[in-house]
Amino acid sequence: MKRMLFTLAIALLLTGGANAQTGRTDGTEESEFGKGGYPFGESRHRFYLNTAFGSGFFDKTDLNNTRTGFLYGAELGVEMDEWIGIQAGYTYLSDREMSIISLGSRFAYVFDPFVYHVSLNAGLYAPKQGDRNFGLAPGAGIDIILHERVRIGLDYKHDFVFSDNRTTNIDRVYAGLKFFF
Amino acid sequence: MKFTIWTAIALLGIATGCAGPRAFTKGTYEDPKTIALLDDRFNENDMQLIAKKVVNSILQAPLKGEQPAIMIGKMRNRTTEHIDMVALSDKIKTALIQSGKVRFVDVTNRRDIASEYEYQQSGYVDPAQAKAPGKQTGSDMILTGTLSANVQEVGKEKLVYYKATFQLTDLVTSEIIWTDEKEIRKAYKKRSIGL
Repeated sequence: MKRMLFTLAIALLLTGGANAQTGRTDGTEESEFGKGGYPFGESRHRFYLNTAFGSGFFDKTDLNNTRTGFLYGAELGVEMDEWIGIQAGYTYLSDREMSIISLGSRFAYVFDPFVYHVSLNAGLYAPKQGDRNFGLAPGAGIDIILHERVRIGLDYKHDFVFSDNRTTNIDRVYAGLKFFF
Repeated sequence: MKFTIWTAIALLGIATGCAGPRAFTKGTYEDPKTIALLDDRFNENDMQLIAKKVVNSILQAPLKGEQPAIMIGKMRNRTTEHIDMVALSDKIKTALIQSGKVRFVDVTNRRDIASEYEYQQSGYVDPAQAKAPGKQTGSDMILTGTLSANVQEVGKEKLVYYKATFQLTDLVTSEIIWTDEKEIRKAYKKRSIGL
């Protein structure tokens, strides 16, 4: 899984640098057809890599009688427009030895230098020991724009992990850097 | 715990949302010939496209005589927008003069030129250097133009159409010896630009 995500990241980095074609008015007659938009601002269809470092809070204790655990992970996404994007993520909760592989959408509102966003992800929750389960994770967060291509953010996600008998709740709070390509 | 986290995020959102007034900052110089349609109004790209079509068309047209003299006549803006027609005619005039195919007589500064003649003939200026009326170039043709527009708007879709028609009229015969038009259609989709 980690190798697959690494390959995906490399592919995104290689393809993400391509810019949309912009038109000019000093070309041949009618060469302006189909050209437009605003080429000087942020480009659309940007790929991003979001790193995550934080904690997960479980609604039940583990064998060590603790409810929390360190987490780290990354999300790879594409922003189709300033307000909408899709993303795939991998998160590892080290103390619980649980991997979360997720896929979802992200909606944002930019109020420079802040970006408010909400997301909804569906995921596979795979502990090292025990059954794999499906879950849903709505979330919200705030990014601060440091540079056109770099943001720092604070995110919260609430995971509803569905198993045969009960639903497990996890609260994830993490900070991270987001890089746009 | 959940309540605390959501409350913290909400408070942070409210706090950051109360930032001060917004302003345009950190500008950069950009190539003016790059197409940029930031809103649905007439812009410099439209002006450049019209001027390019008109200039190329005049340069390819068989005009009377060698380097005929042209005067700029009325440039009518029949759209509902405020459009600087002087800037448009200046752009056409500049490109045509630089081509060397035609000459232009200065209509805009006629009053100042006449006033200067009077001053130079008043005795204050060295008679050997004083300029006098009577040797101005007579125009062969007058360049006029009309810009009209049509807007179609339904729901989130909007089409803005401009038609610029220019003509050269022979001042002796009043014949229209050249005319051409540039049509521009721009399509827009409405989107939210704020809260």
